[in-house]
Amino acid sequence: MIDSHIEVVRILVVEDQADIAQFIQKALQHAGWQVDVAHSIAQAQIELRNQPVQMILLDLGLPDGDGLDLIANIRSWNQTPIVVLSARDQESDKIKALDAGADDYLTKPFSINELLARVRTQLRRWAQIDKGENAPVVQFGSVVLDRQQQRITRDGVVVHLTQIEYQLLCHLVAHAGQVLTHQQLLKHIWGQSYAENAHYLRIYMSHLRKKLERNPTQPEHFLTETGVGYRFVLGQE
Amino acid sequence: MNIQKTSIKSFQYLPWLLTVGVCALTIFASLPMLRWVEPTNIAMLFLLVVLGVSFWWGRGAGVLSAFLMVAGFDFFFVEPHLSFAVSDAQYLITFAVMLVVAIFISNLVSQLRRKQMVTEQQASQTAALYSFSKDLMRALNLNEVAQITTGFVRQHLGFSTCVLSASPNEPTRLVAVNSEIPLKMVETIAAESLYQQNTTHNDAHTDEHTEGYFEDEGQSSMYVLLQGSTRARGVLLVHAMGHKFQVMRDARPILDAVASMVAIAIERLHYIEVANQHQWQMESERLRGSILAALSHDIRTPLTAMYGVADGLHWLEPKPAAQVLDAADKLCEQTLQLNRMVGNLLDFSKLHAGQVRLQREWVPLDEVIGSSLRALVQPLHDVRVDVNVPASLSELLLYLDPVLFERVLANLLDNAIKYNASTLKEKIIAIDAQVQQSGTERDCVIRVINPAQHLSERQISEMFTLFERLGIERTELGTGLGLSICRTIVTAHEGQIWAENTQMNGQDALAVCVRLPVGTPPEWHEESAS
Repeated sequence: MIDSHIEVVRILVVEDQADIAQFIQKALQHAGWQVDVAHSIAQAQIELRNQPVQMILLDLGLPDGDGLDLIANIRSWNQTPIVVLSARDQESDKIKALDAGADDYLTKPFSINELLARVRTQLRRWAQIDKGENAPVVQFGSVVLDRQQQRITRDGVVVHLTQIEYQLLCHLVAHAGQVLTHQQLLKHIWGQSYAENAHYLRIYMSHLRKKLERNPTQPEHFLTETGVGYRFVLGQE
Repeated sequence: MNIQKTSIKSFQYLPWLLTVGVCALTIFASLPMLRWVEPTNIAMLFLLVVLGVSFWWGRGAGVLSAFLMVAGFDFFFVEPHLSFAVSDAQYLITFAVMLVVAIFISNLVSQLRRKQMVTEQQASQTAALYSFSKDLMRALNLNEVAQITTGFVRQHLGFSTCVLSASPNEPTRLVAVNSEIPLKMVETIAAESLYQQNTTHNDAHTDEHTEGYFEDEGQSSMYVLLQGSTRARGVLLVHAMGHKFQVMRDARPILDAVASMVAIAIERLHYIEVANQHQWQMESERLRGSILAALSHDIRTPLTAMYGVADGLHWLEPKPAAQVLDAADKLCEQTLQLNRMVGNLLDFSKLHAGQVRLQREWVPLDEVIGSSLRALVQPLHDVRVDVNVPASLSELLLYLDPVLFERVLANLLDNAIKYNASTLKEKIIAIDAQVQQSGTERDCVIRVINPAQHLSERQISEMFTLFERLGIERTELGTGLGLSICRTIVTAHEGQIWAENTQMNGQDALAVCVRLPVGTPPEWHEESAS
């Protein structure tokens, strides 16, 4: 049953602008996925009811309602990856979408390479969760993280992390490819009472970059999503 | 007029006539009683009459009745009869008692009467002031306030008045809201000087009750300050014909009450206006915000489609010709530039509409630089970026709006790539940071450097003015908005931005420098390593 999911991957694109929907559809079809397009929330809900989808690309500004409501609605009954399409000066919308349950966002305008990379990451993540795959050892760049032994090496040399650094790293790795907002990370690692202390998160992220990145000012794995949060990526996509 | 006077006169004499009448009647009515009643008891009756007269008609009539009754008593009832000769000196006592009773009773009564009159007057004044204040509460504008005031003072005090309130354009000047009588220039000036004295130093009150009274050309005028709860709101000018100093001074307490109520009414109108204005401003800001958001959406949608379609040519089967793909790449690049320009334009209009509120947070320097490098429009693959941040500074916390400040550095870096005059095969840009100590202040200076021709002082100073662009003859895209936006954002962060000539790998270069105060970062607790 799990394998049958992987064979035919269906992606739902919810976008009211026909031109944008069309080029996304073509690019995704070219990459070998099945694509359905919905131009409104109502249409999207019909599509979701008809057949299971493995991925949703969602524009927030839809003619018949707020995309955020759709995200909340979907999240109430399934965990299909959702990637939001939005413009760059709408950080608060991005945060709202991520808090409502979206996994990632793409800033308009975006290249097809970016689009495909994001979709692949989400599908891979979803497949792993679906299969229950959760290997204790994760590798990114020259860093090897062994969660079973709580050991981190970089170029074969053991790297020492503090308790919080380690927790933060594990949480990021577990959500690789996902954008996590400042609030989500602060609440998870430090607890609710640290919600106002975003500088803690920033300092620890800086520590992780210094210890694990080749070039901390041009990071490849611990990426800043300015004004929103952080995204951890395993490899350069 | 005459009839009225005579009637008043006759009314004035009436108590005296009545006193004489009552006394005479009592005396003649008592005469027959002498046969059965002792003179002492008759004296008692007379005393009663004196008491009554004093009570009804006042002290004068009382004293008169005392004289008349004593005289009548002496003349008719004391031996020898029908003569004023008093054989016995003890009748002087009767006379004295009657006189004292008359004076005492009449004084008592007149005092009570005066008190009652004053109380009644005060009650009616209070009622009038109360209805005046109710009317003022209903006033919707200054004009109505002035009309109600003028009407009240005319009706209850008989003066004409003029309300002067602060001019909406010049808060130190006064303008007449309405006036029953044409206002003279000198009067406006006098009112203004009283008003300005009290707005500049609030405790400059001297003797309030003689202050502000003037007489000129047979006209008395008085200036009463309209002192609101926070500051003076204007001046109430009161006019009367003739010499009215005493009248005006007596009316001063009520004028003061009127003035303070008018001041409160003006203040209330002022705050209503402030609240309305605030409401309106919020409304227009909201509208502007939604227009900008709609504009941003409407422009980005076709840009996204353009970019996607052009980019999609790479994925066509069979592969299009190389020229087509080349054109597609150019189209993509131009679309991204256009997108950046649109972004700059929107930022610019938001910043200049005062719509942007900084959301400042403490961000480590390396994250500031790192995120800016990722936000660049141009692909960085043919550009060498040298980041020279001392290790000691990488975790320096800066208090800034991460989103806006990223735009500053991204704009500077984009410019550094665009106007790169590198003699090497690849373009080269450098970004460095250092902390400068000046006195107790610590500043962080971030520099973005690119190889460039040596610029003149004028070129450098004009760089940050709007729509000024380096090398106008060049064909690169750009509206010159970028640097102007950078300056606006940096200034909002209490920082400075400037450009200077420098050297880079032995070549002339341009450095754009941003200076930010370091401030005092929040405390945080480093945990021990595990």
